[in-house]
Amino acid sequence: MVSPDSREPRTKQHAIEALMTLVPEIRTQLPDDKAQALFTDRLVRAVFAEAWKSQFDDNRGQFRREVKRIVDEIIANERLGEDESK
Amino acid sequence: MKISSLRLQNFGPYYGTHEVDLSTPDGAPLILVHADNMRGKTTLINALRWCLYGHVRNRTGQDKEVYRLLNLDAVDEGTFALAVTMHFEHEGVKYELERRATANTRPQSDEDLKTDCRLLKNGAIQPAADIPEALGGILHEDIARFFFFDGEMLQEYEVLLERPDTSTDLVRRSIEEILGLPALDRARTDLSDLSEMTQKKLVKALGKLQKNNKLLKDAESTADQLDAAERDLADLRPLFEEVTKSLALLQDRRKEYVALEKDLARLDQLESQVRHEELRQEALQKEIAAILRESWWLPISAKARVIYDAAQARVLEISRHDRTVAGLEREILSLEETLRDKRCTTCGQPLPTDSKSAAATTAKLDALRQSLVELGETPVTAEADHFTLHSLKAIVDSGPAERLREKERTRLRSRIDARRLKNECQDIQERLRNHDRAEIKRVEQDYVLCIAKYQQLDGDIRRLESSRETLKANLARLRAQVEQMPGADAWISREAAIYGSLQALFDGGLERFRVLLRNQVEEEASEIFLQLTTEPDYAGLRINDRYGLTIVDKHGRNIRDRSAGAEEVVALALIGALNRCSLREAPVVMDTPFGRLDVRHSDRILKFLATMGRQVLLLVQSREFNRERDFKLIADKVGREMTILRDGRPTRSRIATGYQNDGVTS
Repeated sequence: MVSPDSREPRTKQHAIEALMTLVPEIRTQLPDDKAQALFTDRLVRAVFAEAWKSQFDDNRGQFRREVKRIVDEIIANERLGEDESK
Repeated sequence: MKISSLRLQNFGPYYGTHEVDLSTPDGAPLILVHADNMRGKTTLINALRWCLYGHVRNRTGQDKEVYRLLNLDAVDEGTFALAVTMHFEHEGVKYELERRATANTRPQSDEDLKTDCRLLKNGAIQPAADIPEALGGILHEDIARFFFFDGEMLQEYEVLLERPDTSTDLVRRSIEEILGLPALDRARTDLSDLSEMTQKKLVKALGKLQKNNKLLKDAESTADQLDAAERDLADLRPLFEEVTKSLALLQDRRKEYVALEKDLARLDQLESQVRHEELRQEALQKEIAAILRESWWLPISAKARVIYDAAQARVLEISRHDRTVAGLEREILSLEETLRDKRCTTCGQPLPTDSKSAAATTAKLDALRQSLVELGETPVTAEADHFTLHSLKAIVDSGPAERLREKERTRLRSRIDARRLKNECQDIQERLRNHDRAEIKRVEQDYVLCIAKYQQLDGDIRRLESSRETLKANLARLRAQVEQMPGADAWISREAAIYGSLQALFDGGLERFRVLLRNQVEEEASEIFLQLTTEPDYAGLRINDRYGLTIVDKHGRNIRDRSAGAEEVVALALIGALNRCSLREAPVVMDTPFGRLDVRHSDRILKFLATMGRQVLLLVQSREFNRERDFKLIADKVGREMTILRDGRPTRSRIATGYQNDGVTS
C-alpha cells in the first residue's frame, strides 16, 4: 500500500521512468554528435521537472519560458566550450 | 486540503446561519454525519461543490439551478441570499473561501442571482480573476468526482467505464488528470510549439541572407499553411469539446427518457389515429348528410313501403285472378266444344257416346262454370296500383337506406375505436403527467442536432488533422534541406532538433506512462478489493485501457457476471486506488456509502473508508449504519460525529453535535 506521503514520488517515478527508457533511442536520431551531446539525461530530467511542476498550472507560458531557459543555457555552454577549444 | 469548518446560510434546508466544525485530531480522520432521508446530507456535498466550483451537478451531470437551493422559508420571509463559507488548509496555507448568491426580488431563475466569490490566502484577499485557477490547483473540478461522491453512484462509475462513449471519455480523462498524465501531455504540446518557433527562426535567419531562395519560400509557405491548420484546429477543438460534453449530457437525459419516449411515440401514434378516426367520422357525417339530402323521403320510406307492398299485392292478386279466369274460360270452351263435336279437342279421337260419359263431361262443365261464377268479376282496374308502384318505386328502393345504415354502422365503429384510443392516450398521459413532454421532445431534437454537429466537427477535425500531418511531413522534408543550406546556423538547427526530440520523447513517454499508471491503479485497486471482498476465490482485479476493472479469480479467469453489491465494491476499489495514486490530497466526502451492501461488506468497507485519507466525511443514514453495532468498528478513527435533524418544519434542518436518536444524545 502506498501511503499518502509517498504517492507523488511513485507516480512521478513512473513518469520519469517512462521518459528515460526512450532517451537512448531518441538521442541516436539527432542529426550530429553535438546535438546528441546536448540531449542529456540531465536536460530531460530538468524539462520533466518543469512539466511536472506546471501540470495544474493553466498558464503555459511559464513552462515554455523555463524550458527555453534550460535549452538556451545548455547550448550557450556548449558553444562556449566550442569557442574555447578553437 | 483539509477542511476545518463550513458555514451555510439559507442553503437548501439550512435556514439562517449554520456553523459546522469539521476539524479532527490527527489519527482520527473520520467525521460521521448521521441523518435520515430528506434531512440534507446531499446538500452538504452540494454546498462544498458550489462553494468550490460555483455550480452543483446532479447525478446525470447536469447543473442544478442555484436559485432552487435557496431556503424556502428564507424566500417566504423576503431573504433572497444564500452563501457557503469554507475554511481549509492546503500545503501549510490557510484559506477562507466564500461564495454568495443574492437577488433583489424573489428569483425565478439563476439569471436573477448575482454571485460573488471571495478567497483569502493566509488572511490576504486574492484577486477575483485568480480564484478559479487557485482552486483548480488545490482540487481541480475534473478530479473532485473522486473525492466528493455519492455511494449510490459507485455502480455508475463502473458502468461508465465499461461503456465506450463520450461520457467514458470524460471519466477516463478525469482519471488521467488525477493521476498526473497532463504533466506529459501538456508538455509535449508546448515542446512542439518551441520546436516550431526555432525552425521558423532558422528559416528567417537564412531568408535574410538568401532573399529569393525557392526552398526557403516553400518552407515558409508550408509553415504558414501548417499554422493556419493548427489555428483552425485550435478553433474547432473547444467547440468539439463543448459539443461532446453537451452530447454526453443529452445522452444521459435521453436515458432517463427512454421509457417515456416509448410512451411518447405511442402517444403520438395514438393521437394521430384519434385524429384519423375523427376525420373519418366527419367524412362519414358528411356522407350521411348527403344521402339524407338526396333521399329526402327516407324518413317516410317505411310508410311508403306499406302502401307500395299493398299495391303490389293487389296487382299480383289481379294478375293471378285474371290468369285463373282465363284458365277456366279456356277449359269451359274446350268442354263445350267436346260436347258439341263429340270429339277430344286435344287428340281429335271420337268420344264414347254413352250417356254416362256425356253426363260426366256436362257435370265437369257445370262445376267449372260454377267456379268461374264464384271467382266473380275481375277487379275494376289495376291502373291506380300500377301508378302507386311506379311513384313509390324510388322511395322504397333499399339502396340509399342500406348505404345510410352502413355509413352509420361505420361511424359507430369509428366512435368506439376513437374512444378506445383516447382511453389509451389518457393512460399514457397519466404516466407522463409528471414529465414535460415539450422538454422530452426538445431533448430529442437537441440530441439529433447535437449528433449532427458532433459528426460534422469530428469530420472537420479529422480532415484538418490529416492535412496537418501531410503539411508536417512536407515541412520536415523542406526543413531538413534548409538545414543543409550553406549559411545555415548549425546551433539553431540543433536547438530545433533538441525541441523536436524532447517532443518525440514526451509523445512516446506519454503512452508508457499511461501503461505504468494503469498497472499502478490495478495493483492498488486489487489490494483494496481483496481487503473489501468477502469472496475467498477472488484473486484481484484486472484493468482495461479505459480504467474499467474486471474481477479475476484464483485461476486467472475473469468473472463476468457480478452482483450490484460486487459492482459497488469494485467501484469503491477503483476510487480508493485513484485516491491513493492521486497527486492531490483532499477530503473524501461520501454520501450513502453502503447502499447495496450486505453487513459483512459494509463492515469491511467501513474500516477501509476510515483509512482513506487525512479527512473522511461519511454521510450515513440509520438503515445502512447501525450506530449500536457499527460504531465500535471504527470508534478509534472517529474524530467528530454529528447528526442532521429536522428543525421544526420540513423545510428546515439543523446540524447537532454528536449522535442523536429520538432526542438521546451520545
